[in-house]
Amino acid sequence: MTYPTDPESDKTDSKADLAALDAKLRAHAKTQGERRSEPVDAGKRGTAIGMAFRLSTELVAGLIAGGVVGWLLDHWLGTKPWLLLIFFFLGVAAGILNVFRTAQLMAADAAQDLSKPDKPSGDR
Amino acid sequence: MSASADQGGGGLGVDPMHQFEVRSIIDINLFGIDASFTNAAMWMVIAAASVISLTVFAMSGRAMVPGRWQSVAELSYEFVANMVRDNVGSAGQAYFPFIFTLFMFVLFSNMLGMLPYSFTTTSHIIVTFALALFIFLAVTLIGFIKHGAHYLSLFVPKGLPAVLLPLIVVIEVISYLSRPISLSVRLFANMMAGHTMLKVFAGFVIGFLGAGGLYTGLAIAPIAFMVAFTGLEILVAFLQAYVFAILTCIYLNDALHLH
Repeated sequence: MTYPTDPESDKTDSKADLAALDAKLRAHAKTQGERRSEPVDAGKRGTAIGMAFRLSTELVAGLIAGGVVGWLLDHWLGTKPWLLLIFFFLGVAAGILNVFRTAQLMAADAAQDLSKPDKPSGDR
Repeated sequence: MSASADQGGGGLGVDPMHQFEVRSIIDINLFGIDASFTNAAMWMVIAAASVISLTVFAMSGRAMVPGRWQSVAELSYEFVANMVRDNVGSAGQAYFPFIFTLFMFVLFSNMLGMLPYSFTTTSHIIVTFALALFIFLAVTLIGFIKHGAHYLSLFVPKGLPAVLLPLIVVIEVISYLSRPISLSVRLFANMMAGHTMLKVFAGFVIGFLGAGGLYTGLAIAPIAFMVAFTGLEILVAFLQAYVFAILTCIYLNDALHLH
């Protein structure tokens, strides 16, 4: 018999092997990740315009939503043009809230990228 | 691009908006409603068919060591699966098929739009808005089914003074209602702006060539720009599909896990 007859010992052996392999793979992935982190940063700068675009759509979307709600309520209650005016400004507030939340999300993403350089996350 | 030059109307001989024109291929009239099969519909069918052929035929081999096509299918599956797991958690597993379908459809619509003579369905706001509205309604329904009336607490931030409550709740509701708008406008505007830009610069090339003489040599500048911009457009096509899918995940996460 060239292979171990006891299945239990075989299991522990392969387990130890797997653990060693896992450690090796992790170490390898770490160095690979560090090497890869530079082009990711370059890509980030390229999509800065994408970030700016995203923030501006958030602002405009809040404004449109506020305007539409105000216009519909006016139409329904017959209070032209007062609710449109009020909801327009509430829409601006909602838009700023949207921008603030999106910016928070982006900041969290950036912080995550800094702490974990081996995990290239997408740009939003 | 030469095709649009022939039919152009502007001073440069090219109408950059011509590419967005919806034309009817087969006229269908259902009870007085114009339900014609248009070029937009055709390209949506092509996008859906491409996704289906990629996922069904590429996986038909089920090889242990995947070939090129199977690799692409597996990569896209894992990409979306990781996205759902990272953003929604294990509760998101049930919605993976929907997110995957959505991501692949938007990605293929954007990418097919990069082919010459094709039609970019996602450059029409009604298409992206229909997608976004469906997501919005589905997520809202899921939220109410999972949490009942308690879902409304999404609009009430914690630790808020009672005086400010009516104002903030209205702002929060408007912010919530603006989700489908920002989702659809972002995709539509990105695709339309990029494609218009390409056609405008193509018009410059034709203008320079038409001027003849010394100007002919100048045509190289807009051509160089277009080559670089086409690369950027392919990046945008992927990125916007990614953003569309990831925002759907974030909205879904809000509905599943109230915080």
